[in-house]
Amino acid sequence: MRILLVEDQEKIAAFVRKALEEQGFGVDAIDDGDEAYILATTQSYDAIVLDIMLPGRDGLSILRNLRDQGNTVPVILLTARSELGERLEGLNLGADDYVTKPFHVEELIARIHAVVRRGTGQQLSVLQAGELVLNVLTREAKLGESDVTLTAREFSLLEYLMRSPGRVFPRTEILEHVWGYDFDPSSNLVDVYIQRLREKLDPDRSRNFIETTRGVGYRFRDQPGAPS
Amino acid sequence: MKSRSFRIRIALLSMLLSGVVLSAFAVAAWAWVYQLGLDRIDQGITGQAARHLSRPQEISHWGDLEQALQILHGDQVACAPILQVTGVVGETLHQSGHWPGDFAAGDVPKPDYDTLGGPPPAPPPMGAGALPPPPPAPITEATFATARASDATWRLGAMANDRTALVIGVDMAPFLADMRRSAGALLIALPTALLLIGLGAWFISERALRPVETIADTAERVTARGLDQRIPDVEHDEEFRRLITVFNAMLDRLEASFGQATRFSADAAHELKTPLTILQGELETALQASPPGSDEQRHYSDLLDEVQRLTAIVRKLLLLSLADSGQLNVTRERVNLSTLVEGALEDAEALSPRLSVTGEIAPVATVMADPDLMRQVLSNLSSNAIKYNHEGGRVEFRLEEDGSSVRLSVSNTGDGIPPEDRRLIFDRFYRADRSRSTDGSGLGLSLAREIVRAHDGTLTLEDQGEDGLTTFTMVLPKAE
Repeated sequence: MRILLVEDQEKIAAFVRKALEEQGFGVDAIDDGDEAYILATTQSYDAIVLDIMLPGRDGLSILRNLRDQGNTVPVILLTARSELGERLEGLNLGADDYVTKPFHVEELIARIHAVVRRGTGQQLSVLQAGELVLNVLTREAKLGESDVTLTAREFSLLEYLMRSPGRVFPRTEILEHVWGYDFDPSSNLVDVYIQRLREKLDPDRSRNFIETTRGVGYRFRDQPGAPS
Repeated sequence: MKSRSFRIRIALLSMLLSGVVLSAFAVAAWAWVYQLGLDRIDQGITGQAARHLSRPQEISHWGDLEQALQILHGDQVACAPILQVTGVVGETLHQSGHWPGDFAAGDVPKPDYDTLGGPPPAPPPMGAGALPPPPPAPITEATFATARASDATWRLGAMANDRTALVIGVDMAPFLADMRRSAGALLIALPTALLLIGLGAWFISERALRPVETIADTAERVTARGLDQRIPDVEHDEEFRRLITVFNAMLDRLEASFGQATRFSADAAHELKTPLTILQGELETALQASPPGSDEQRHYSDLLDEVQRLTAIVRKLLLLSLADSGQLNVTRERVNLSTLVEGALEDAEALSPRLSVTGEIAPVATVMADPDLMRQVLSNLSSNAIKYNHEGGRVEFRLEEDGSSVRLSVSNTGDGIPPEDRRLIFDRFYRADRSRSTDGSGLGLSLAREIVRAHDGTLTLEDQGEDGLTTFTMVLPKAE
């Protein structure tokens, strides 16, 4: 997949680029609005990550011009200003999603995956890991043949971890993604919910789906079932 | 202090003032008219008396005069003038039949002989031939008195020539009746005038105070809507114009410095976002790259926590500065508050296993709101209820529909908020725990209130009831 990354802050562009490349994306990083517009209209990308504040043409006018020309390439906006007014304007102009600075790279990657899937009609609506099957559309969880009853929060948490198996999620990141608004990062909310999930998914501690990274957070194991 | 109306005071004062002036004027005018009437009566008496005293008269003349006067007055004998004629030595030569007998002694005036013009003329020589017309007899000036008898009040005038003293009395009843009539008219006219003056003052003061109303209205709008309100500087009097100019200038300065403060925190918050993004991104990259479970990874995670904390504060400051400058625009959608409250209740249970968390949550309570901001309000109310609780205490969520509004209360046991702090809890950076041993930026409640306000709702701290619960209540308009 090819991604056009338009971001004038060199350091932000650097780590976003690095993270995207680790995911196996091909990345063109541009720091100027006018050049970005030329690239966006002449090259074919699977998605564009677009900062709003840019030298040259700003992000919103690039987006407007692309949409005016009937270009439907998925666009994710990076916004730094008031999330409220600007994101609405962006979505009205035809952005597919937005990420507010400061953001977690993982979040950005998840959203890129989501908009690309949406664009190509694929829906990764079922997540599977060993015996555990999660249907994102029906919000149902199954362990082998038996249903597992999860609350809305528990389901979101499990879905979030399962989407990137093997990756370590710091508590902060989990809090922000699943709970959304600023919970105190020192609260043990995540630990309590992980505990509940473990009790429901793995009462006898034989499969160990969710692994603790001590002092950091949690990760969903690549190959659950085997003791770590 | 009892509040008084300036307008009522102005109306009453002008009524009082004009009442005093008008009454004095009315009394003076009445007295003047009275004196004028009296003078006219006196002139009549003087004229009559002088005519009949200007030459010596036969005794029978006085009876004729009496009759003539009575005929003149027709049948109203009681009103007819009265006569008393006295000779040189005090003998009564004539007295009217209806002369009241009960005049007090000394009430009947005596002629003032000092004013008699010269010595009495010598008697005419007896037996002389054709008499020359006798020269006019000298007459005293008239003296007057008002005398009261049992049946009427009389104006008496006394005059004399060298032989005869004459007292003529005129009944004052018609005159007094006239005076009473005019007094009555004044008594009606005066209160009417006072009432009109009072009403006039009421309306004039309303007009005069209109600029004050305008100023008060503007000041009210300043509190409600923002500092960009000004008093229109048109059609005002000199005295008010100065006040208005000063008031507007004060608002200018206030707006400028408030705008500066708001801009500063908005700019600062905005400028902080880029370095925070970089910091967070670099830390995440480093965290993922470091060996799982290593000390290094733990450090990165701790740092990430702090960055997250900083990010949350910056975000709140930005939202607050947007609210301050009136730009906290809410992107509204239909939100079932019940789902959000159930989530918050679930989190509260998870966070505080030692508290008893209960809820009475209406199954559907839909509002038009920004779900992210609503979540922020809920998380703030719920985390306060947990933070300031007793060991083994209670947290209660109650969500109900109430007519056209949706009402959420979050209550908790605990020490409660000291009365002196109740007004401060919605202030920026206020923290119930002054020792700062609890976490939090002190922005939460202040922001929560701004958010609820931006949704046309209210967020209030309830009075602590007998159950000792601290309760915050949010009321939002129900979605149609």
